[in-house]
Amino acid sequence: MPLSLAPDAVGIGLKHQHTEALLAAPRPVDFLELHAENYMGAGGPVRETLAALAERYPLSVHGVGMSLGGAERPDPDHLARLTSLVAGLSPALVSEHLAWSRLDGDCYNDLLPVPLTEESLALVARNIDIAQQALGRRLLIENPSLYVRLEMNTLDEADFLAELVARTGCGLLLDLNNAGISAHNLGRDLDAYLAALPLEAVGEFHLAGYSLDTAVDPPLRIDDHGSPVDEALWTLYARMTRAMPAVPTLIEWDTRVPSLARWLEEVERARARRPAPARNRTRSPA
Amino acid sequence: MSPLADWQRRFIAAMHEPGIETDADLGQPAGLDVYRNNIRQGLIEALATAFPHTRTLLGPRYFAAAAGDYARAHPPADPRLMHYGHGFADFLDTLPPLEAHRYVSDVCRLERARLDVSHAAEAPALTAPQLAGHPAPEALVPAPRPATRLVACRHDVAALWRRLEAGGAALPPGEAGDRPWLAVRRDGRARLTPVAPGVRHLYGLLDGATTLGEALAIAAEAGDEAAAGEALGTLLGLGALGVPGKPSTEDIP
Repeated sequence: MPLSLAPDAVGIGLKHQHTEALLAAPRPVDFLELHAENYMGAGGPVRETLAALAERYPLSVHGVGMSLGGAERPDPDHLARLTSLVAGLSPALVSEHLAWSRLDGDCYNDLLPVPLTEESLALVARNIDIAQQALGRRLLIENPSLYVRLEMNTLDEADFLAELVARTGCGLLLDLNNAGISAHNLGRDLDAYLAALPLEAVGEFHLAGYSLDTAVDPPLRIDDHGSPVDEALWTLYARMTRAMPAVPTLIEWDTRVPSLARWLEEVERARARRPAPARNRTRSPA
Repeated sequence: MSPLADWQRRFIAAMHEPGIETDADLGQPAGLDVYRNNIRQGLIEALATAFPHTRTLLGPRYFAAAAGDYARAHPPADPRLMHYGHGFADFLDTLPPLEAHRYVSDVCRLERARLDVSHAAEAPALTAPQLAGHPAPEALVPAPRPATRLVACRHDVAALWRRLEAGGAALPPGEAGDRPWLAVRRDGRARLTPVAPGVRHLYGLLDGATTLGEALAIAAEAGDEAAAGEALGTLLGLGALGVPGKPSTEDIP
């Protein structure tokens, strides 16, 4: 029986160094988010531990390798693996990225930028349709961290995402850190960007830290998921959750992974920054 | 070709060519460097995670350089990075500075095998009591369990492997020679064991299409009957063989 997810839930990423503590302790977080590709082996202890965690925690399956933002259709083998993983776990949330990472049979382990054109819009919408039909459920699409401004863009990112929602029925994973990074790196107006998004489609927030590449002028913000959430982002998060109190939040920390205790401090900060929890509301699996 | 596909191909070409002037429509050079660095560093880190002992033997700087060269020449074909680096040991074999250190590739192959069996599908092991209790064991058709890999080492790296596993300083390898190992996951734990050439021979014969009786007869012709029986005992003791009648081909290598 899938575990339901409270709309004001705060979760953390699933890291192998914390699994023992997460299984042993009283449930210290509301949910766990796993990178889908790390759990697509055929079996073994990693899968067995995940099955045990799935009995205790609502899960969010976060894909990083579907390459929905490319001209190619989703790799059917990879999509089948994701579908199998999702079917086995019945997670509360399933998400992917507005990005591409595969071309001509080679995979590039990064989230590469998508030109925002009418052609891309049609292809990404097609790919999301294919994925959602295979999964039999709604995907949340995450806004990207960007390091390049593409002169060929004919659409704003917020409009592009809004049109994907309208065409495919997908939801959005609003990564506030990514939004801030892209605003900084591209000289984008963050408030205008957020105002233009279809916020009613947002099904999850991501929060994370970033680093600064000062070797270039002006410095670039780098989405390294390796540091605490900065104060400006907490302020933005408080503002967004006042307007959108029923959206679960995930604190990402993928590099220089901290102790569980340190990570839970960030969870408590998130809980303190958002409005008092609404009662008797749960988010069932989409 | 669609305009998006053409743009993506030019973008990837730019990822492979640091320092050259790129088309303006790909984005600003400083930003392209971020993506380029993310791809390269991500794959170096994936290989470092997969091959920690190899990294210890080569040292972090040489390992990073070799891993970066490998990543550039061999990008992953699968977004599951747990499967990345199957050709890394062969690549190390081509590096002239490692001419006198080919045992490093043996350690690299053992690490790859350990990863493979760790993520392989589960399947019950054929045990000696099951075999002893079977009315016609010679007619069984055993096969390697999915969580089993045979590794062909070319040096005696047993003592070195034990030292690396214990976190100690590296030892010189033993003599060069034919040194087969078996990697087997059983009860959730991957174990790597050096085995005799006769064990490898019988393991190769038990391919899921040959009866146990036929395989033992062929193995006995190559050596002696007692050695073939001993090899079977080793394979059963390690849990390397699957339950007869249960195909083990669902594993994804």
